[in-house]
Amino acid sequence: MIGRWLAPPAPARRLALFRVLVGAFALVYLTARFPAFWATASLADGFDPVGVLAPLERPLPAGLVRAMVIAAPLLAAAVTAGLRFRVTGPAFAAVLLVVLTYRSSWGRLLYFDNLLVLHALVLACSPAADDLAVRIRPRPLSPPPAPLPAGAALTIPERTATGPSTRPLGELPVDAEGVVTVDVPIEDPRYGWPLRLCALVTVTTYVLAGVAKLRVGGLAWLSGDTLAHHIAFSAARLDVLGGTPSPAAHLVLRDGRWLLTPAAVATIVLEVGAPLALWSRLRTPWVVGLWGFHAAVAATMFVLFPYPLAMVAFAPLYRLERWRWPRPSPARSSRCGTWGPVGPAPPA
Amino acid sequence: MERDARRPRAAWLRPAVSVAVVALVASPALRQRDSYPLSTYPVYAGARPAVADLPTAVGVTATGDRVRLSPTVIGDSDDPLIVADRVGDAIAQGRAERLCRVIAGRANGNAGTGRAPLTSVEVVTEETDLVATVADGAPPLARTVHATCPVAP
Repeated sequence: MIGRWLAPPAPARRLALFRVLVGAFALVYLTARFPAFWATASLADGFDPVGVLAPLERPLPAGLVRAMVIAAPLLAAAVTAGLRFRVTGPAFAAVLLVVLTYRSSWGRLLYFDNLLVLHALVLACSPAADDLAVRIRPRPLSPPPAPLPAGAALTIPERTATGPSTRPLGELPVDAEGVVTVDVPIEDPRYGWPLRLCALVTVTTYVLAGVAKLRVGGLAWLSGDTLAHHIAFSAARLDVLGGTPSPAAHLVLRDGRWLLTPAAVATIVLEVGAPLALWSRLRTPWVVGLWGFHAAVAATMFVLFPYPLAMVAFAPLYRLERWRWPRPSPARSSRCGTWGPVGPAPPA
Repeated sequence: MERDARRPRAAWLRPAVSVAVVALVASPALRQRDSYPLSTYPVYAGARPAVADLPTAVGVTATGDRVRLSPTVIGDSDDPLIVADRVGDAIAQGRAERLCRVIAGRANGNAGTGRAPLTSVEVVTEETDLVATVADGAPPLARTVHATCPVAP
């Protein structure tokens, strides 16, 4: 029972779509923030290693840091494409972990991309490139079988629990090149489990955030005053540092401070109640609520949590393959690679 | 499912690994130890007082006016979190004079932005009533100057 809930059968496409989302997000994020990551190579003062880098006694060599900062978006691109994922997936997760941990190893822990790293680590151990993956076409060892005559039909026998039966399940048309296209969604727990695990990781992190607010701030956090002071602090700090504070912060604190009490209560309810998002009926209301919280933080404090704002953090909660996805035409396939399901070679 | 039936190991392995992963993600909260990427996620958790000390650096013009400097000039970064930490750490560790000279060098390089030329830079802490400042534009309650250094013309 619990095993089936943890590993529900899912099509390979669902997991592959999540891989594409995570890889594409990381590619954009690492590229957009490239100067900030690059700058960590030249930092010297205040090295305070954390996480997997905690054993380090001194900063990493600048050349190594720069090499990883360059490699990270390249590996993200490879993961997005599903290119040699068994190698690039773990390599991407490892490099991402080190690059982002290194950035947080200079006296200030940043919380913008923890989930991205955790999801990348889970994906690296999964068969996330069994679909929607670019593959280098292997050179055939033997001549390909002769194509079926155009206009012919291939009879598919029905498969029962005891084996193939003689009753035909249906007939598939053969195209002009003698190719039969079979689009059968195969669901397997191997694809559902990593997604469920990523969903569990997502909701766990939000529960931790809610518990931290209650543990550190106490029930006073629910009054809205703490939230008001955080918004004001972000705006005032930005002002003294020469930035432009959010106009929304000014408006909320001047005219809409009464909003902050229900906002604080809603935040705690959403975060502590995050496991309810695993129940399909409450999933979308929870996601909309949390996304609204992150949007409000971005609007009033100019603090962006891009991973949830881009909805990638919540993607493992959904059946992604049910979204409309353009189906590539055969004409788009190049001679050296294909974009489509990758599986065992058909029998000769 | 047939594949799973042939591999009974998955029946216990997946729950065990799942519990281990969730426990690992939750472990910082149990140990009260924040790290990366495993964290207690204390963002906005702490009660923040209504009045705060904000470390920064300001430029001083020939007429004595104080003007805001950009995050890049103050802390060599466009991230205000990082800049605030660098200034705060420098003040706390007695390195305000050194930081002031570095900022003055960057401020000199940023001359010609259309405003009056700077004659000096001050590393300061501004005591601020947060809500009053943001909602009504109230000035700082107090300003402590930690270091002053000239800006080369």
